Amino acid sequence: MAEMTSGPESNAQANQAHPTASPSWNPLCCAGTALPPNLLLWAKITGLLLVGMGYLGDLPEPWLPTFGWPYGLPLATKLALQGVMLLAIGLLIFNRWVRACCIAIGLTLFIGMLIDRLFFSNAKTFVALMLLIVGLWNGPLTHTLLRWQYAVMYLGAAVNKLFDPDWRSGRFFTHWMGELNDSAIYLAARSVVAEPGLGRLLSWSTIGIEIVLAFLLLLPKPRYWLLAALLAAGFHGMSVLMADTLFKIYVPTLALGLTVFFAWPGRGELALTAPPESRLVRWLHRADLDRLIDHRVGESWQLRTPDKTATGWLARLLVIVYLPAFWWVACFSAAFLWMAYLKLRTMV
Amino acid sequence: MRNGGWRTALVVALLAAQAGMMVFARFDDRRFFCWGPHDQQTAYDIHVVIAGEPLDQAQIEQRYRIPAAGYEYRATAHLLGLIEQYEKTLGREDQAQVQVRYGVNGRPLTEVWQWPR
Repeated sequence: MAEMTSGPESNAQANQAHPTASPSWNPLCCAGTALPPNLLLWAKITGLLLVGMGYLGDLPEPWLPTFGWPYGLPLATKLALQGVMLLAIGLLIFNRWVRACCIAIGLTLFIGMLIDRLFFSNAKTFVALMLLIVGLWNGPLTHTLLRWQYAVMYLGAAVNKLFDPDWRSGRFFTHWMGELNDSAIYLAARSVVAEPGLGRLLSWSTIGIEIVLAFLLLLPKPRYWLLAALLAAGFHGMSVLMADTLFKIYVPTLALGLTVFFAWPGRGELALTAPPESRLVRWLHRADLDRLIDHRVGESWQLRTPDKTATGWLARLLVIVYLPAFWWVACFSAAFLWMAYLKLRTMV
Repeated sequence: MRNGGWRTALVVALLAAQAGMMVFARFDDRRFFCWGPHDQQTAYDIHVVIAGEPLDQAQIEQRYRIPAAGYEYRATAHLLGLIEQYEKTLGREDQAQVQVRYGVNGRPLTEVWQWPR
């Protein structure tokens, strides 16, 4: 029997960062710094993605500034931006000056977008803003601000589409998915819903989902954020399947970022009561590099965090999900599968 | 402000700036920083003539750092604004004559933009 109850503090006081005098040098560890584990984990994975997906190398030299100013910056600006980003990602990975590093990485992306208008993209804007907000961490309120960032983004996307006649008529989707992308899913769906109805249906579904997501994320209860996170995961997952692209760094970093809405226990804040002979308990101890779990011996499974108590299978699930090791494995597995898929696609 | 309140104020300012850009985007077609991802697919074809000599595709690509013909996945005005900004500033002395034929969201390339305007 699984059960979960929320404490009176519910998400308000939980997830305080608990910096220790000397955080671990282990790159897989995410607790004991000036950031909560989930925010640091997100920032580390995003840093790795920036390097792995070529954003570090693509940082631009000054060319046509986005807002018409400034011209005439030295070409070495590119090298300076790359140096700062690389250094900041390196320090972040090893848990040093984590907040300053997030701000530095976010600023390099922003400066890159300002000194060369070709470097501008919404994906980079999203990553830069999220890194800046994480770097400006100021207690649990920051979770609210991160949710608001998502809400503003979804609202902005929906408003832009609503004012575009080609989105309202479905023409954009018909051309993008049916003609440019040759999306297998879209073409299959055409046999069920004829054009222009299919394009219009998907256009308005997209606009509707974005408005619902913005609305849910602005509500004050965690259950709505969970609903929004699940809806967003499904929505972006579907867009990846249909368009056959990750939209560069956007979808991976956005998907992992869905975890930053929630309170995350710090070191020793996962009070787990469980039978000691359980194989899962032994595995959890090995995977708990951050020493989040405070294990007590008991007959049945119970997990207490600063803001909730869960029992049964939900306790098992939550304790796994709260461990950064789970997310490292999930992210590396997803990256491996995606690369294998790309390789397979080029072979076929 | 005490206790890092300035950090919260800075984040709120960032969020407010985005809201401002969303409103600004109603009056400015370039749509920078306003969350209009992939809202237009613009097929285009650029022709450039300098001192009576047409540039080939590679020269056009070198000049604007984008393909001479292809797709622009942001706003159409982003493409046209890029060329206009280049010709007004870095390429001003070339006195180039530019013609861009384009079509948005699958329409034929019948729209024409020219520089100098």
